[in-house]
Amino acid sequence: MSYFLVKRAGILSTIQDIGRFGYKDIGITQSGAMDELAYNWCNKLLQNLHNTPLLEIAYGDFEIESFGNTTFAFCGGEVDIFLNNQKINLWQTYSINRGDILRVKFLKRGVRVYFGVSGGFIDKKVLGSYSVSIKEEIKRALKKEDKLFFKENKTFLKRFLKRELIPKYPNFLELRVVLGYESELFLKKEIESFFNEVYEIKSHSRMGYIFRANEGVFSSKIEIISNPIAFGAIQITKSGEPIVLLKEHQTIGGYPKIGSVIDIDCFRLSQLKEGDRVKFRLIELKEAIALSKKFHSFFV
Amino acid sequence: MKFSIASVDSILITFCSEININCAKELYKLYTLLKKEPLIKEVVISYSSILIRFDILKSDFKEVKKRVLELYKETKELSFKKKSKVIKIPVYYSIEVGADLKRVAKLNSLSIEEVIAIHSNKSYYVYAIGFLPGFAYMGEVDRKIATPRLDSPRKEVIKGSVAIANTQTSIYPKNSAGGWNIIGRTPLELLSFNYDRYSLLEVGDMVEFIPITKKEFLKLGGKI
Repeated sequence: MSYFLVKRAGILSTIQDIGRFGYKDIGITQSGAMDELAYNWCNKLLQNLHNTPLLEIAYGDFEIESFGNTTFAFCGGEVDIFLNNQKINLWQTYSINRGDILRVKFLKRGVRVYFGVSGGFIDKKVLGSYSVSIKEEIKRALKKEDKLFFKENKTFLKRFLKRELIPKYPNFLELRVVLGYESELFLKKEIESFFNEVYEIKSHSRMGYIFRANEGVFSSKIEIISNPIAFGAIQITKSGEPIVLLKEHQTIGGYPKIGSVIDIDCFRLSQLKEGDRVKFRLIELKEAIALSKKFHSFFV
Repeated sequence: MKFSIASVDSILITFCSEININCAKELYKLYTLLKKEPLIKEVVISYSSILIRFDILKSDFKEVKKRVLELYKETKELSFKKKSKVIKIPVYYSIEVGADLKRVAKLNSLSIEEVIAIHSNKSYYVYAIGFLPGFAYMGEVDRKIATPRLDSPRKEVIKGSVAIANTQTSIYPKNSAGGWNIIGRTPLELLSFNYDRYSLLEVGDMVEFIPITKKEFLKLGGKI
């Protein structure tokens, strides 16, 4: 069978699809590609079915040697990639042959880049999904000497994304939010100032993004009974730090939640780093649904 | 029953404002129907609320809400007992594997034997699963042995550890950090692909702890 031999595994390179559904009630998170926009484009360029397993490379520093022939593409944050020392573009398909070496440097902008092959990687499904879930030890990140299997494919079709469609990876984002959950338990002035502030990213992981507390925004002490968490939910901790919960979020939580960042903005958030900044912007549910539907109907 | 927006494709249904066994059982009946509902992609249940997620391309809030209300009506004819399973968990209660057994006894002015007798003398309801896959929040522990969490969590709690935090009890499904009071250990696997749904315990189950000897514990595959 054809495969890539991993020479450098990088910091966190994981096989991902859209994620795992139907097990949150036993504490198993969705997981899946953090940036579904780049992930979906990668499959689309390769003419793969939606939800085909690809490799999510966080931070870069990745190298493979090919033991087969196929078509591949990279989509995501800005990074230098070399095919046998020849620099190649992201958002474009290339063919790779037996003996070729593919090298990915550290990302320059953004956090994650998706590496896909025609037909996707051949791997095993666990509880209905190919996704690795780090925290839950469901499957694992790539290691040196691992093999990434794929189906041999000699027909090459050059495809690329139009320049104007290539996402940008800025270090400031506006995140659109729908109010919900316990929002009525917060004071009106707390909600107002939450939407007026600029927040800086303190730390992040596949679980979510933690922002530094801004003095004087939240003062009320809200106690709730732990309830289930939705993708994109914004928790406010006791010290006033907002946490946006993403693909590997815990399934239930006891912090009050003000609402949720809409899914398509969660995907963009997944490309920000420590020190980058965001502003939360309130939008109407109707508008949020229309935006989300537009995205999903385009890719599904 | 209260509906709140949780996200563009999710609704939170809240049943009650306090943790209450009757409310939890009503909630559980609705959950069992929602799990089978094709309109709904994901159902998560906690102490007093359920989160449902639907496919934004196939449905909407209005349709999902209507369906939830219909199913809620159906729950009135369901009996909780028929739906719930009783699971017996063998536990080797001992200071050898229960690092906080002495602490629990001391803080409650009881002997170790009394703590064991009280903990294993009732059945517990699984209210929620979270923190880790398969980590079941069960209640309620008799107030006579209720013990607050440790001041600082342990770096590693061994898989299978049976523990108490205030009036809740649980079992660590895998080695993990944790701050609950450990009073014993079960030889049973909490997570396995041999189980129907990977986790031995599910919300709505009733759990009984059965004291076993060290010999029995080892025979059942337990490790010290």
